Amino acid sequence: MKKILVVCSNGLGSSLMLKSNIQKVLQEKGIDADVEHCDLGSASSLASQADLVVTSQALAHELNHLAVPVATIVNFISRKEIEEKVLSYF
Amino acid sequence: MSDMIQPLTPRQQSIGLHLLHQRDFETVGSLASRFRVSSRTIRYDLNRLEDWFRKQGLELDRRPRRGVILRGTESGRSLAKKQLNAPSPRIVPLTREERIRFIIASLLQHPERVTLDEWVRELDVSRGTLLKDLKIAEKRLAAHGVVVERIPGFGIRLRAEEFHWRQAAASLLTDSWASGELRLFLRRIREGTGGTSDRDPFGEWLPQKMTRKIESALFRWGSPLIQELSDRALQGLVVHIGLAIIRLRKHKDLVMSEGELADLKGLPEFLEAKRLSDLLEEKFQVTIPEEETGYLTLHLLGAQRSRVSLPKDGEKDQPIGRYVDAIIHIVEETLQLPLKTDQELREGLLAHLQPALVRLRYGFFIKNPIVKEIRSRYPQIYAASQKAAFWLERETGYSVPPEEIGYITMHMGAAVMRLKEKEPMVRRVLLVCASGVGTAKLLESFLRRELPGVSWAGVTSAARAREVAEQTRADFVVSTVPMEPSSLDLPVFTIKPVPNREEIERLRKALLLDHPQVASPSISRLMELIEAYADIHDRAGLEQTLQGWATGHLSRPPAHHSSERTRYDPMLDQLLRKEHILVGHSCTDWREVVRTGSAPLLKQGMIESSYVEQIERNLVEHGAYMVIAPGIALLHARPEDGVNAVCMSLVTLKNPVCFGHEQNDPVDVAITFAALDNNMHLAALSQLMELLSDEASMKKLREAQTVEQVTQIIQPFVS
Repeated sequence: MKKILVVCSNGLGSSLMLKSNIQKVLQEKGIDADVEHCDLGSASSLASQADLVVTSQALAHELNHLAVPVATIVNFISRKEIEEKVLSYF
Repeated sequence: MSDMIQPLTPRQQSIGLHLLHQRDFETVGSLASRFRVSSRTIRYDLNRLEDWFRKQGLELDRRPRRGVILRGTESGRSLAKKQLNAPSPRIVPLTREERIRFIIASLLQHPERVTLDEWVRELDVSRGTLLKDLKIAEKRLAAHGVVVERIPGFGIRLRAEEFHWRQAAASLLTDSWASGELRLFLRRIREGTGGTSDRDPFGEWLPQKMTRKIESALFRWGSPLIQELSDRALQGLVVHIGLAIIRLRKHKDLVMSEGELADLKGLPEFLEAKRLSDLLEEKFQVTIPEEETGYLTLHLLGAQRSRVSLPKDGEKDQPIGRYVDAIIHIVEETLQLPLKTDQELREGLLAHLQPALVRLRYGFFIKNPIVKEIRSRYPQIYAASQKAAFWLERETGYSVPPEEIGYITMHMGAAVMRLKEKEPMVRRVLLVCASGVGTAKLLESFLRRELPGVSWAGVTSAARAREVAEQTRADFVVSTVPMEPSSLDLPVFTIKPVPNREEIERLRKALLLDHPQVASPSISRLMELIEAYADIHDRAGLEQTLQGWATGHLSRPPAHHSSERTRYDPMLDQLLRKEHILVGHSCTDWREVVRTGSAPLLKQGMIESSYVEQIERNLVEHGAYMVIAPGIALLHARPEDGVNAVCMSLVTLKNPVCFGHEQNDPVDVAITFAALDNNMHLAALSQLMELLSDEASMKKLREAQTVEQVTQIIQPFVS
């Protein structure tokens, strides 16, 4: 099962929203995946266990040191954008 | 012209004297902090003093960055000293808090009109400083429903119903009274204003003679209703009665609806209140109307008591018992601790909630001076209590302020402590010190008091630790000298000879949580045991299996997995209350959006100003990542940045504002929220997301003209 890590700077606002939207999209498509969220500080250590990191565009440059692919989302509530950017990794 | 003849103010005299004694340069900043005023005020004072000293033949030398120094002959100095010493004594400047209380007091005393100039004269600070103080005073008055109106060219006046006026006055008086500081404060005010002010704001407020008379009336009344009152509540009652008498003499009557009054008249407490009213009428020669007796009844009903006296027909029919059970249930589920069996908790909450409901219903204020401390010390219990408070709000329709949540937390916290004491975790603790005498005994008695429920094996020196531990069968060692645990075969906790609060907390945790039953067993020890009785074919495989079994079965259950526990989380409409919604606001930049969205939450004490500053800092440091979708900003920081309650606000902007996001700018909908922990806001957040992703609703939201329209748009998303 693939693991997705959603990152925002505090780990309790936008990342939560994005996480639940990703979960919804995955559910609709019948894809089984593990989605977790965290803050910027914990991202480096948690990312090693993930297959994909998803974050907002503004924070992407703070995560470009990761060895894991990073997908950036502009509109957190657009399911279409999530489908395009996240599903391509499956 | 008036500048030439105006005498020096008391503070200017003090500064003058101070400078006469100084032989070195002193900076304006240093003077400002010494005299507790702004640098601007000091500069103004120095201008006046420069003229004054010149007339004395002295020169006030002012240099950029170095500060000021006074130059002149010794005889000139001593002459000036004599003049400055003569007229009035050295004054102690008022602190900011004292100035704020002075402002509130004088507004309440002269609600029809006060001018800034009067305050400038009486408090002897600059207008800028005063305006800042006034802003805080306004906020505090607003919390009691009292509105401050600033009218250009006229001055400042108050707008308040009598009930709200009295709430604000009572709050101010109990605040100043709490630590017996009122008298001290009054003296300082008189000294601070040179003792000449005829507008002493407290002059006619609750003179001691009056409070003594009220206390003696209460004594004569001797009602069972006051016998269970807490000290604080009794003090509050005296203030309430005193204010009532003062206001009645001025013909400021309270208003109460007939229905409400009729309800109250049916209560046995009303008869008692009537008896008290009669006594007061006689003692103070005032006529007390029935409405006033009605409010007195409410005050008696809403006062905090140490014990509960439920109506004889039992509590079964009363909603109060149901409320208490539900509150305990919610906290129990949230914390995953068995609280229902704690009879003391139930009784304590009953005693607390009965008057609390009266307070909540009528919007009486209640002080909780330690709510912040409680919140920071027991964050989880506080969060769980707030969850219960949200439920109570929904059930009763009364809003529950942080002060009341703090009281619920105190009851719950005590129950959790009792639970921990009951758990079989009590250890036999040996205290080890370098010498085993002197400070060790002091530390022992201190720890005994701080850690009840721990059994103490005694005190000994480091050299004898092993021997004494065996003799006394101790199973835990607290030591002020570093020791190797292996030398004792016992867990060792190293502590400072004079431990601070944090250390005590860490020790408490170590004693309660590091119990063998909670910690995972040692896998190697298990392997040894098995090996003693059986041959092991696959050593690595067995170890791995044991490891998995140990972590799966023996560690505590993970904290956030039960869906059951989200059942009582606040819903979107509970967070986005009417007073947290601002429609069609005008903001010029993103900072103003952040401040506008935070304002209602700040005003109600749900967040601290540090929280707002952190949001701004995050936006500066990490860019506009909080703009999560076209036109939508989700503004927040972390719980530890200054959050008192889970809360949310919504602002729609008349003119969109740029936050610096490449694609999603400009923003016209801003949601500000604060969370206490990682999960309590989840339900509301997911409802919010449904709303934000619903295009039709968002279009309506952006077009909405009134708060009511917005609440209607939100409603379908609350399930």
